[in-house]
Amino acid sequence: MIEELLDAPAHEAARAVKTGEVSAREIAVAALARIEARNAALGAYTDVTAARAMARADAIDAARARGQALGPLAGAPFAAKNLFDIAGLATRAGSKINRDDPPARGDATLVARMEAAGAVLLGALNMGEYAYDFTGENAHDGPSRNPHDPRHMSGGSSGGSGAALAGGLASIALGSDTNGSIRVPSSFCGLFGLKPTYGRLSRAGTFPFVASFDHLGPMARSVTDLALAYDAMLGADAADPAQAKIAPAPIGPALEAAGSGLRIARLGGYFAKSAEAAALDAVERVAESLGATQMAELPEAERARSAGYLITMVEGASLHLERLRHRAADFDPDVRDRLIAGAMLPGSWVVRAQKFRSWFRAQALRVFGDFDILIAPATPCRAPLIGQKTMVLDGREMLVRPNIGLFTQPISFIGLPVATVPLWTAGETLPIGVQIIAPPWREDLAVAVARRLERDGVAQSRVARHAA
Amino acid sequence: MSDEAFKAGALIEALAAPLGFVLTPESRAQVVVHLDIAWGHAEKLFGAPIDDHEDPAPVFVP
Repeated sequence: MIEELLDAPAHEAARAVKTGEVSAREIAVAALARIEARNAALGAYTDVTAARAMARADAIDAARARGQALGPLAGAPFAAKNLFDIAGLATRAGSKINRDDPPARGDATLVARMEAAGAVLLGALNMGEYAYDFTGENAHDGPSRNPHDPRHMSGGSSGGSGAALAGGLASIALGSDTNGSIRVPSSFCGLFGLKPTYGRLSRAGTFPFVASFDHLGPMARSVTDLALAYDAMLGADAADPAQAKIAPAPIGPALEAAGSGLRIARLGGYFAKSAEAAALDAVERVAESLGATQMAELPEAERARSAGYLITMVEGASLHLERLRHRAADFDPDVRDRLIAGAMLPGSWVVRAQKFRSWFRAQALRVFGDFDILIAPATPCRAPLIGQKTMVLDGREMLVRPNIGLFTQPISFIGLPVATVPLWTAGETLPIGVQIIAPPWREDLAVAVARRLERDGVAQSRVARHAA
Repeated sequence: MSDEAFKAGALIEALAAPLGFVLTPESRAQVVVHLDIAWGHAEKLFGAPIDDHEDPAPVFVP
């Protein structure tokens, strides 16, 4: 039963703990044993917080024994990308350099909020160095492998988050998404992911990448878990000055009722080319299921990606300037050389990119005057092989690393909320994701549509058979 | 912009040392690749329909 619960959604584990069918301790022990058995092959965890997990699980069991009400995620095992502060661990952010930092003295706000909802932290997860990555490969800790076929990428930069969930090593994982780092591993590993609106969730206690694009959010194997985790993490936090002053809007209560009667369109133009047939077919299946017959256009999406690309290079370079000067040899060369190039870009390019951002946001808001939800591919292809450097899209050979985020980058560029849903094709081992894009602050719509697709059997997530 | 070709190498010669970067030949070659990619993106932006009065969005509010 415990093994089944580890493969089941988090809310089922929480229900079993609340009813006393199992203890939180039993779940934690079994989850830690799984990590011990499978992590070497998957490269999901970089740190395991076993003692903390046991203490937390025991506290939950003790609370239940006293008759206290338990949180919605009571006993559910979760983990966080290693750019989240976890008390007692250096926040490595996928780097070698940050391991020299002193251990974090406290937890990131979102980690603390997940625990307050009853979830049990199992550890810190592998990621691409400094989050400048779409592959899940890490030069220092090794790659996070795709549990559905370990020869393939998990996707990045929240690669460990993807590997842990698809490998059955956690029920919920926290990730970050600057240009696609929640949505890409969700697509490659067959998971539901939520990148909330920019400014929605607190980023306090996390290591940044591109401050004007950085988002944090949950990944899970069920939409209900996504909603529970998101709701648990909502709320104002004075420690994050970039957080928007907007009232929290929980999405769980209306999750089952919402998702119908919406005006839904597929994105055409830029989002309907430069993709393998699998990506376009997945969008087609989602559109058909939702009855979305109309096409919408986000004008100048290609330019939006270009602008996002330049801002990322420059803001990232600015963040790491001192490390590039003094610790260059300790970077992953692929990351370092992109950052060094970013340090040399003219300021006028960046200001132009920022101005374009305002223009593009206005265009997107106009489109949302006609539609409630836009759908687009999450990635242009299924997970490439680990180490693969180039791919062919639309007959053109291009670099894998910077181009996996072709379809995610223009969306996070203007901070729109997106739920990613995973689709499978008979005979194919690897899944592929579709973005469900909503207007600013309407995470509820994106997640409700994801739930509808899950309920209708169009999108689903599962622990990889290879992992068991 | 102009018919003059973008010369990533020249940018590196001008900026690497003042910025404090010590580049190996392998690293320099990759920086050239990334600068060329950045130039390609910048060229796309040069033609963008941006009004003189458009505000930049360094602190973004959706």
